[in-house]
Amino acid sequence: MKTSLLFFALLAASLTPAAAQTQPKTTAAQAAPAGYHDMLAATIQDIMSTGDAVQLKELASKMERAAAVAPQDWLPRYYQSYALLIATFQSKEDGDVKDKQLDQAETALQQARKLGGDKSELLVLQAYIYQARLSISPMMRSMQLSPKVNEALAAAKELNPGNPRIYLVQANNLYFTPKMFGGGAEAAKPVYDEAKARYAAFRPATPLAPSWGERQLMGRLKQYETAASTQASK
Amino acid sequence: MNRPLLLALPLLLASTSVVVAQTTLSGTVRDAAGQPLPGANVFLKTTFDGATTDSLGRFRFSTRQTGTLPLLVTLLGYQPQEQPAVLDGQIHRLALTLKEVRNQLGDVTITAGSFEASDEKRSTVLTTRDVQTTAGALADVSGALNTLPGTSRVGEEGKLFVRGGAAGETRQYLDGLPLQSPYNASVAGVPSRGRFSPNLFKGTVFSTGGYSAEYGQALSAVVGLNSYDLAPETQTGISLLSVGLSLSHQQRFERSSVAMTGDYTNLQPYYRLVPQRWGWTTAPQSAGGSVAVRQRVGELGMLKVYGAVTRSRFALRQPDPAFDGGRPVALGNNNEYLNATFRSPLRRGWSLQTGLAGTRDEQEIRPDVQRVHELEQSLVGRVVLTNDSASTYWNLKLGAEGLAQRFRQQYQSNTEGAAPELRSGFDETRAAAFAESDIAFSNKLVARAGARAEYSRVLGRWNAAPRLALAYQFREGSQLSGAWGYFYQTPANDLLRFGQYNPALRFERATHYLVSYQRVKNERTLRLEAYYKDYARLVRYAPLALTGNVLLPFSPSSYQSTGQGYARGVDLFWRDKKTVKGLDYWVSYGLVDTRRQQRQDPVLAVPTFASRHNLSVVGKYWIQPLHTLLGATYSYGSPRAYYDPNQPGYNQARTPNYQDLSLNLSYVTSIRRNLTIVHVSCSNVLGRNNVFGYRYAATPDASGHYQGTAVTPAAPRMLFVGLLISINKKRPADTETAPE
Repeated sequence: MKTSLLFFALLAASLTPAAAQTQPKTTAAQAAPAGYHDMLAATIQDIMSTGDAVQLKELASKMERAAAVAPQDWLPRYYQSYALLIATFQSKEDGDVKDKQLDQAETALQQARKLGGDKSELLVLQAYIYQARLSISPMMRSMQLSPKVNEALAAAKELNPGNPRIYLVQANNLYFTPKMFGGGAEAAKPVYDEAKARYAAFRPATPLAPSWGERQLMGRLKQYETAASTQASK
Repeated sequence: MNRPLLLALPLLLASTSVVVAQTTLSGTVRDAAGQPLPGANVFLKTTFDGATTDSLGRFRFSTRQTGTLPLLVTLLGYQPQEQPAVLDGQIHRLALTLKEVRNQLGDVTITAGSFEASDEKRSTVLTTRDVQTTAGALADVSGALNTLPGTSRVGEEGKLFVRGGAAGETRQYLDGLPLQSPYNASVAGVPSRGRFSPNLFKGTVFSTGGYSAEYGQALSAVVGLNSYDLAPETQTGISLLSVGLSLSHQQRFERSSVAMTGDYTNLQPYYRLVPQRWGWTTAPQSAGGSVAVRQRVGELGMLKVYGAVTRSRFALRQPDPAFDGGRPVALGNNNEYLNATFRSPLRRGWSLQTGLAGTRDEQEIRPDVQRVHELEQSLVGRVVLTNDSASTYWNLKLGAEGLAQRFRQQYQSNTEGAAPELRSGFDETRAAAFAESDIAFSNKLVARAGARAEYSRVLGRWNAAPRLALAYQFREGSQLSGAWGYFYQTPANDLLRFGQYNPALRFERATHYLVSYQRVKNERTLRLEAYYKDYARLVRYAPLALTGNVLLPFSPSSYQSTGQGYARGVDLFWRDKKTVKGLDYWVSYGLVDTRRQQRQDPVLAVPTFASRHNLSVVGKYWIQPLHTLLGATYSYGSPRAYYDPNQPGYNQARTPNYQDLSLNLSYVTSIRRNLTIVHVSCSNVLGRNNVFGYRYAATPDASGHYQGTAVTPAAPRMLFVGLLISINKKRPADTETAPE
């Protein structure tokens, strides 16, 4: 369980597309200094293209700086939280240290919430943080945290059923549940397919709004194809 | 750094339009003590330019910004620092110092005396799951707490005996309200279990000394049980046990939940299969049910109501030298309990916690041909106001508690007798108030000071109990703490029945002194605690001319608050979840040296319930491929004292030592996709013949010798098998994790 969670976190970190396809645009509502959006976009791209814990922590600090530049924007806080979260999956530090880092991730998430960030996206990130906490000590925490993951995802779905990341996180959960108990690759497949459809239909509200996860999904679906073709060739 | 130059530069820059090249800022960030601080964020405000300090507290970054910008340094736990930085195309080396944020309350928790089991807090010693999976505990809260240091195993009682204290000196609280009958009714020699299932509780605090002024009426220890709020999910549970059946259902609504349980226990079939030493005429059987309603009120308020009803009975013949084939005794118990609590934040940082609990406990005991009927009813209420934002560095907790209690006993020397020969009892009204404050003096030093006052109508007396605890944190996770306080308790029911008529009777009192060291790091916990407990004003009464007569003497003047005693010792606890993957184990050792003169004791003597050395080793191992949790508990208790009338002296004889190895196994699987746990446990697998004490005849035989029989468990081993199924439509079974 622990290794599997780590695996998909790794995927999420290394394979997600950068928010690079988006062209920075200044939103009328926010009066951020010139160049802010370019810098933010570049930093988001950096976060999405690294899997190194030390780098991710550096980038989280950079996002904290961005938050100081534009204190009214929720995005730097959101990505700060995301970077800290992914870093915990990648590092080999002690559970206590990881827990502290996740505390910081949660603090940043709360700040994003206070700034009126996209609630559905924030809930998905919250669910992801719960998963990270769970993976630190699955034996001790599973019973308490796995309902919380589902609860957060359900709430996210209620707010915006079109958010593809809900289905991705959900499908990952299912994928790593043993087959005999209703999980497994086969059971997860329809949810991955749903995620694919949702990604196809998804347009981020703003260019820099959360859009990660599609590459991870494609990677997973490709695995299914490879598995199917090896089966066929046998 | 050249200060005049630095000041002059901005002027220079402002007046010239020189194109400035990249400025490099580097240096170190240290704390006030000069230690490097890794992970600090050093950056120019309003820009992205900055860096994070490395493991040696060093940073270095370049910027194309010009002029003077504020340089900001931030790090969690430290005050952010801002200073102007001149960006002139040069390389600047800076030595920066951060000041620690002064501790806010809650960063250092005073751990002296208390073990906390919680699902929510991180660095607790035990979790709720531990209560359910400890071998030998049989999912009994007290059974699990008995594996912690400071406790003595008293097998014939099954209750908690803490640091040389009797069972009645440990008070249990459910959601802040004291429990009148925490254990199932039993008779001497038959161990009892806790009345409440551990599944009800999200957290347990077990304090073996020096506890908060919030708790009264406990000379030795406090067990705080905190029930769950809203049931997380709709779920149905079916438990098929070798000793009975239990059904539960919980329904979750948006802002409320209802949970119901019903259970039936009957040991008859088990006793038919497994031979028992005692002659059970009616095997223990009980039927019970409970309802728990939870309602969220407003944003953060919570209303909880819990009610439970139990009916139980048994009858047996206990080995007794005076009776051929054993002395018959029968017990019937009806117990009803209702607990309602409400908590909510109020204005300006205040929050309210209040509750009311009622208990009715009726017991009918028939020793031989006699009949004793006891009825105890009580109502207890409490209000607590807490202000956590009174100041950054201290908080305030104020509370009041009231109790009305009625105890009645009727005695008949034979069941044929028409009218009871002796009626006794008392009515008690007790009021208590307390105030307490947690104060953070510095980052390292925290104190908790409080006081509690109580009035008892039956005694016609007041008491005032000051309490103080201090904690000093060396570094993260390691702490030295100490506590001191006065603890009062009204004498036990059986003593008050007659003692109430003596106006000189007082509260019993214990004074605690303890010092403890705790280190929690990397899922390893070490705890050492030394204590001294001084008992005073314990109730004594004149012994009967004839021992063995059930009738207690009705001689109020012989009841006097002149007993005293002491208990001193060392407790050691070590838990390690880290060294071996999948293995979680702990070792508890308690040394207690205690003597007391209480009740009928003619001299200061070692009480029969205290053993000098107590050791528990608990291990749990999760075998992932087999989806199985294995548990083992080994307990050792050094010989206990008992009174042998054939020898000179008092409490002079010693039992053999006590040893027990219990094993359990939980296999997680699924039945029709519903999470299923198969649980098997066995106590005393080695079949050791444990002796808890000896029962002597009241009169010597023809040769002048008092005949005695050993007090032992009903059977050397207890085997338990259970099949626990949870039906949850929303969530597929997860068998990859260890069971609850």
